[in-house]
Formats: sequence, C-alpha cells, structure tokens
Amino acid sequence: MFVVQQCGLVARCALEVEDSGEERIRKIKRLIRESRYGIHDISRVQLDGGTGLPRFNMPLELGLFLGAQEYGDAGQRLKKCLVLDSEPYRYQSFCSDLAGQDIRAHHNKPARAIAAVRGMLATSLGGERRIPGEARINARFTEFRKELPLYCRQLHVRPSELQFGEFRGLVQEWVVNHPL
Amino acid sequence: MGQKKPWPTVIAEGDTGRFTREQIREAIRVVDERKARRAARAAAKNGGDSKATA
Repeated sequence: MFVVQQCGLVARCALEVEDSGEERIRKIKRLIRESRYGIHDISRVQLDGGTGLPRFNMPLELGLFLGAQEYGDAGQRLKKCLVLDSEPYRYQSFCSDLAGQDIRAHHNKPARAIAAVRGMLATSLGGERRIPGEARINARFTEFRKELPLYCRQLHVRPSELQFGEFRGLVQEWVVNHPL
Repeated sequence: MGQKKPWPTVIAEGDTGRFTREQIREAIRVVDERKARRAARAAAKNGGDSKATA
C-alpha cells in the first residue's frame, strides 16, 4: 500500500469491504471495476486453523480482475495486473492456470514486495510521472514504520488495531507531509 | 531538454475510519515536531560538547 500511495495512486483493498454494510462480493466487483491496476498477493492462501481448508478470497478476486480485463469494455481492457507470491513457481502447485501472468516472488520480504510493485507501476506510469527508486521508497517506508507507533499513540490506538482506511489515511497524510 | 516531470501527488481519498483527516494530520504534526525538537537539542548538545573539547 505504501508504494501505491508513494506513486501518487490511491490504494483500494477488499478489506475496505469489511468496514461497510454493502454486500461483500458486490463491493469487491465495484472496487475492481474502478481500479486500473490490480496487485494480488496470493502468498496468503493458507490453511485455516479451524477448518483445515484454504482461504480462497484472494484467487477469487484475482479471477474477477482477469475476467474484467478480458471481457470488459475498452476501459476495462486497459487494466494491468501484478501477481505476488512468496516463492517463484509455488503457484503452480495450487493454481497452475496462472502461468503466463506477471508473477513476482517477494520471499516474504517487504523490500522485495516494494521492488516488485514499484517496478510494475513505474513501467505503467513512467510516461505520466516521476516514480522514486525502490531504495528511496524502501527508506521512506522504514522511516514511516518506525514512527507509526508514535502516530498511533497520538490517536489512542495500537498499530494492530488500525483498520484499512485508517492506515491508508495515515500513509496518505504522511506522504504529503514528508515530500520527496 | 524537456522539463522534468513532477513527483506524484497523493490524492487524499477514501474513508479514514474512526479518525478525521484533521486528527491524522495533527498526530503526524505533533510527533514530527517532537522529533525535530529532539534533533535540535541533540545537535546543540553535540555542538556544545565539541566547543568544550576544543
């Protein structure tokens, strides 16, 4: 999310859905329709501790995005998508039909995820705006993360209690108040 | 040579949950000001120390 905001875009997420009363799948479809870029991290497809079954929300959302890209109108066909996973080729064990998509491994390291997202956005937006380098974004993210508990203390909330919109608001305002 | 493109500007958009944008801005301002004061005090102390040593 930090990279997206740092590149001047607005991060949207299915987690927004949990904060509203709108029917979940309807809101996810609307969110996908309104987004030109999609970043889907399928590394969190893990077994649920209680049921022993995998949680497939992320691949479902990725499927909706790919469907919009393929079958949507001219605007929807301009969509671009990045798929992230923890290890290269891991997806072949559980979602082999994804072969051919732009899939990057982040090895569960924030710096690798930052580099992948920044790379995709720089390629897509390079003609429109200047995009900071991955080292610069990484340094700024480290600084933000260091200060986050202090900002949260001011807001009388723990970092782990922040909802998606609250965290996004903090990132947006931090980026504006700490210009490049 | 063409003009340099500007750095991207973040568009403040979307729901901010339990906090208003003003509250978030204020929290950032307070923390950043404290940090700046600490840095200024440390710099003054270091400057004083180096003068004392000299």
